[in-house]
Amino acid sequence: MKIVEAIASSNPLVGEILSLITMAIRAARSEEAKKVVESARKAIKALFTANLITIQEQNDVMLFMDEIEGMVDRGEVPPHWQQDQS
Amino acid sequence: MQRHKRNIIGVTLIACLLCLFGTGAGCKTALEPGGAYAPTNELGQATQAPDPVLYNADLSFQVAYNSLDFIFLFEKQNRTALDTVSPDIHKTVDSIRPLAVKARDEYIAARKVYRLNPVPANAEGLDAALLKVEQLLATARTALARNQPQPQTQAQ
Repeated sequence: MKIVEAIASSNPLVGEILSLITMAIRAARSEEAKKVVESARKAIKALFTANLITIQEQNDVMLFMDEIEGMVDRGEVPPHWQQDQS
Repeated sequence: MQRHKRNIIGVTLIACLLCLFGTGAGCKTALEPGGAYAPTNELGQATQAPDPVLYNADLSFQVAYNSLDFIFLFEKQNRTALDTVSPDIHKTVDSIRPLAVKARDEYIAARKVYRLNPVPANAEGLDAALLKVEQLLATARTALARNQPQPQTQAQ
């Protein structure tokens, strides 16, 4: 475990990604957890491989960004992003 | 079940380490022509230069956004249980929520500016906006991790 921590500390983002994956797996096998793991997987690929980022992968990210941009333009805030009023 | 979870975590960590050792960190991202970040016309000719800067920034934003989304939902759905662990979790996560909305909006605004004029100065604006989102994620994640029940350690 110390080796893992040492490698993670050499690149903070690696530590972040490892923690996120661990957290997602620990928490639940929910759709939200899957999204975190999937986006972390893509980030690892982009960071550490020289593989071509495929058309599909590019389009998936752009589609996600279009959705978020649409939300922002409409002034939408998901319920769980809103502060607790109670 | 616990052993199964540990196995999954172990396999994931090993896979990540193989990525590190096998390919080396920091390799450049190559975008396949025809994708949203390397658009081409019907003849396959590039209509604009591939933009790995925007792709990497957007991908990082996606990771951070999905992670924050997961934390916010997890905290909301498990608030009562988490309160028994520590009320600080709700307090910290709730204080991050409006900041996260602001950071999300700022990233989208910086992204629009960069897409209109993809010059280094605007890329810096994009990075700065992304950094805010990532810092909020780090704070939220720390709040959860810091307040986790500690596993029992064996005497050595």
